[in-house]
Amino acid sequence: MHCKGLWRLNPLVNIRELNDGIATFNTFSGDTQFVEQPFDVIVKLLQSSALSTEKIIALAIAHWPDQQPLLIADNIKQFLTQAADSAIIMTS
Amino acid sequence: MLSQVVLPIGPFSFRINTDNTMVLENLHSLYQAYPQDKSCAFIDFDITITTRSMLRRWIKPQVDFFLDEFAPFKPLPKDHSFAMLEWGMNWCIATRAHQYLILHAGTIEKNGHVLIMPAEQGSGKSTLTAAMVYNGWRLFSDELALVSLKDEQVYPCTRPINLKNDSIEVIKSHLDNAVFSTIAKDTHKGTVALLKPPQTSVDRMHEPARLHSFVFPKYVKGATAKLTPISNIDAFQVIIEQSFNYHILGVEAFNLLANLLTRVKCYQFEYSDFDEAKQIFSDLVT
Repeated sequence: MHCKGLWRLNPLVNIRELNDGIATFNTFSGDTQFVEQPFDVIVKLLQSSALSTEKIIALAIAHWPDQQPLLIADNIKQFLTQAADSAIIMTS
Repeated sequence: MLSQVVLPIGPFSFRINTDNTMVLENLHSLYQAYPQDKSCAFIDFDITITTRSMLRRWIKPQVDFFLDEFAPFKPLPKDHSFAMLEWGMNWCIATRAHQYLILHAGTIEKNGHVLIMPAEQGSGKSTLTAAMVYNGWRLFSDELALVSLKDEQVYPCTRPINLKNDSIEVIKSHLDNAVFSTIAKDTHKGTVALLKPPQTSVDRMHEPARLHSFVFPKYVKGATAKLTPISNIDAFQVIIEQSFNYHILGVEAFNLLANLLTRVKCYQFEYSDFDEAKQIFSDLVT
């Protein structure tokens, strides 16, 4: 898991919505990545706000009340790590 | 002594200089109905196909391909001259025409609706393209889909259709009066022949049209024709893989594809029978 801090969308990344997720383009590396639903919601949130891991997890738990909170938390943390490794998001 | 042929093809002008009899004969056979204008004001690609030095004229004769004075390829056997010209023309467009997003795809049009069929080599896209364009569809290209960065329309680049190996006999048996180039054997793609495009496609090769759908074709022996919707994300990934210049155009290509995919549908298409394919494609654009 990356260092503690607020997550935000990498300012070098452009995002475009598709019907089944989002496509991202890193204008520095030329890398194209895709984020499928439901994790595209997180990327779109981070485009407008810097959020902590805990805040993101809390929002996800509220959004999916029928899901197990621990499972949601694990999935979110895994996604954040992968998205950071792909340079889609970064900590500020 | 080099003969010259000037060919306007869609948005491009080619000038072909050659002393090769096979090239000249095949140009006459396949491009006879194209407007030929030696006074054309601007030439995009000045190509020379010429037999090599004295020794190589007689011993295992070979030909060279030049764009301007640059030879981008190794020489090929003289028997492959015309195929080399066509591959070279593809290379010219794919490496230079960056006003378009260029995809490795068969591209056909009907009723103002374009289908782009991106696919790997050997998938049967050229064979499918050939069958469709002799059954009511307009040929844009069997190899290169050109999508304009400026207006997002698809532009024709109407040229002979490149068929390989078994597909040559398949199309010969499917079409009456098909005109083929000299057959080139033992090329790196196997046996190759070029099919003359329909005259109606040549007559309209300056008319672009809007994209209707991406269709990813796959020939499966004995399969019933089936069109299956696929996700935009899956389509986006395959399109990038089949693009000649996505990595060069960068964010412009990214935005163009994102724009297209928000308004067109994407399908996987399995087929084995041309008549079934024709019906499904017609229903798609009606």
